[in-house]
Amino acid sequence: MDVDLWTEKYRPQTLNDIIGQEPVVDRLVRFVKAKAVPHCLFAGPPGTSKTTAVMAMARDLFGDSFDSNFMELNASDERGIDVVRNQIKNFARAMPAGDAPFRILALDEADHLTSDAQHALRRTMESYAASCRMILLCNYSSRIIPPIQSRCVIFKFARLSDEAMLGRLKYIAKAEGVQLGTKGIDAILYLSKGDMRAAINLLQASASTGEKVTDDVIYAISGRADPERIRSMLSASREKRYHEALDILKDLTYHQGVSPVDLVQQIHREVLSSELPEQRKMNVLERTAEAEFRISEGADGEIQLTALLAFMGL
Amino acid sequence: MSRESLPWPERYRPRSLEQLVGNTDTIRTLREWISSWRREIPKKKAILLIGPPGVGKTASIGALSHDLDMELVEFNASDKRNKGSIETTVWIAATQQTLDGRLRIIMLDEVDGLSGTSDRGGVGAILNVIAESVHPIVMTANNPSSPRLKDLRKNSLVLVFEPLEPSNVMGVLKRIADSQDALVKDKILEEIAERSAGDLRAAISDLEAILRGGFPLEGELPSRDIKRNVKEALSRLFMTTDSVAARRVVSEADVDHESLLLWLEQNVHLHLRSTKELEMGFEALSLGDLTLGRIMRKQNWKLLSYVYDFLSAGVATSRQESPFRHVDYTEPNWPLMVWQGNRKREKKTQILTKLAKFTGVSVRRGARTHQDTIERILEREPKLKGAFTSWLGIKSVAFDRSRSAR
Ligand SMILES: Nc1ncnc2c1ncn2[C@@H]1O[C@H](COP(=O)(O)OP(=O)(O)OP(=O)(O)O)[C@@H](O)[C@H]1O
Ligand SMILES: Nc1ncnc2c1ncn2[C@@H]1O[C@H](COP(=O)(O)OP(=O)(O)OP(=O)(O)O)[C@@H](O)[C@H]1O
Ligand SMILES: [Mg+2]
Ligand SMILES: [Mg+2]
Repeated sequence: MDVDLWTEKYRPQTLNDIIGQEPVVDRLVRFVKAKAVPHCLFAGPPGTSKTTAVMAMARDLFGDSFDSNFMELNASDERGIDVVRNQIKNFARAMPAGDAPFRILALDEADHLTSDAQHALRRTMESYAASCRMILLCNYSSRIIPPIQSRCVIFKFARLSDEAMLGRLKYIAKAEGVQLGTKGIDAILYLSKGDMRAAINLLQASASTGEKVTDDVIYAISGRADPERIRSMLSASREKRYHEALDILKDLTYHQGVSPVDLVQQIHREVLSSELPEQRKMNVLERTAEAEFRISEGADGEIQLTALLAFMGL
Repeated sequence: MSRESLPWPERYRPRSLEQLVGNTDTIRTLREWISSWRREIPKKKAILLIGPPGVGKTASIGALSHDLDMELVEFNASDKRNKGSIETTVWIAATQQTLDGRLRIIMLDEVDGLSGTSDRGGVGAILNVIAESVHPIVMTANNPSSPRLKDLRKNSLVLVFEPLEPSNVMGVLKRIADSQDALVKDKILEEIAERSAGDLRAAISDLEAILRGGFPLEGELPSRDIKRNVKEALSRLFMTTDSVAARRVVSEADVDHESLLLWLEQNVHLHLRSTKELEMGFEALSLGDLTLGRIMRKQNWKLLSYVYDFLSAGVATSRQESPFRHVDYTEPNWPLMVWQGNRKREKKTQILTKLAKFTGVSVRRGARTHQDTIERILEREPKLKGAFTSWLGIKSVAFDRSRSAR
């Protein structure tokens, strides 16, 4: 049987296949055309195609000599200064293979390099600029020290829009012969919040049963509750209809198998966007955080949740 | 490799002092000090150039060695610089004459990048080299308050490089645009210069990116200035008293929670001016800090979202009577990276190592980004286990093991 993680199977291989990041990708495409790439810093939230973009750019640029001219290091796993002084420096100073104009080194999760290790990159980026361009990838550019930022052109990757996600999900569903309805898509969008990787993972996990991918399947497989139910539970407790609130709680935990921690997190999300007066909202959020902490410390989830619901009725 | 294909900051690296702009007095002093070595060895045998990135510290030394026809020997943060290696390589270069009798400039670049762990004993060794040197020693650093500079400062002449004036930056940008036969509107050059905050290297990079890649769509260049980014975020945060808006400001701000906490602690009092507001604001900060502590203790990152609530909504909604005003924020006076080192290493499992290789995600994050999905699929379709294990090239017991470990 053939199996793959769909996130990998459907990772765009060329810049033009990347969806919904036009402001960034259009410029990268022109760099490739000019065969001139500056050192870059790609910053943005998870699953928004930073790693994909650097690999696609290198593939577009190098073609057959991709393997010998491209190296990827995950800085989060190789975060010490010695890696920068040895492995990285050695890669950077070697001449490019074939007719490639330079090599490309991708430093993924670069915000996890220690600041010592970042300092050690400074001169390497300058001295060996002829043979190697560095592309640093990170979630927050504020964790990259100023002299390294100075050496890079900065690109911000945004969370993907619903339209971009929707198009890609439909495409994958079709290619895999998966039935995916509108409500199913809405559920995936709600749960993945602009993170394409999370969305594709969810689609694959939900499709693995072979059934049609509906919102119910998606909430079940992700172990989350339909946000409508959460809202009903919260308004019931706010209006002091405790029994009703508790019934929903029991149904969600016992019948739908939503874990207490996931429930608190969903409650959290609903409280944040609710119409509660600001001060009240903060108090509820505080209690919510406390409940989640206690549950994670081993306290009984049902008791904590019941107490939280009771607090909301005060 | 031709100069043509270099990224522009390197391609236009000044080769002679004439090509450097700005900081004229400082550069003159530097030149005079180095020239004076031809007459006699001065009292202070080392000079320390301190200034922000991309203003000509390294470039002026390179240009000087060219103009004064001196040999240049460089050691920088990409070299191992512990006691042992400095006492051998640097010491030899500093204490021995050159073959042709010229003077040799010893450049110790980026001395604030001496590593606390890998470069142990480095500062002491540098001090010994300075004492014995027969050649001028020039050091550079960004951060004037770096503790690693304390002893070096005492034993050297200190010269400060200021950020470059916009007019200087503009001048260079124009020259480069002309040499590329590119017509660029002054307004665009002005915007690049303004965004660069006196960092000429950054400005040249941005010009290159625009001429080669086109102007960013929204018409705005992302700023590299971390402080400015944080300050803008703080100002937008305090402008609102609405929790949803506050949360949005912070999530769009590209500022991590640790920096945010420190900046807020330092500055909330500027906006929360009544005792009651201040009490509420600090309560929110303290809840944020408490939650962060809880996260760190158990690596329970699920709680992070609450930290952001407290630091955004919690703080912003505390302002109930004081009107919003524009203020000057001060930078937190203790280091921003304090928590980073405390992170516990997570267990590397075989699955995670393989996944990391296939997906480009770190071993540290692999469980969250991919392994969970696979395990969920296997829970429903145990038959697929064989297929996944052969795809990952691992033994199938690895999955059972990872289950029981968690
Ligand atoms: N813009 C996009 N178009 C199409 N697919 C995408 C896009 N962004 C992400 N994906 C999908 O999501 C997966 C993960 O994306 P990627 O590894 O590039 O994320 P990332 O931005 O590097 O995230 P992280 O910050 O977590 O490292 C890809 O393999 C691909 O399948
Ligand atoms: N004063 C200047 N005059 C002309 N060009 C400059 C000047 N300062 C910087 N540049 C440009 O920026 C590039 C980098 O400058 P330089 O290496 O001197 O930076 P630095 O001050 O050493 O910064 P860092 O602290 O980041 O190492 C130069 O190659 C040149 O293109
Ligand atoms: Mg990535
Ligand atoms: Mg320098």
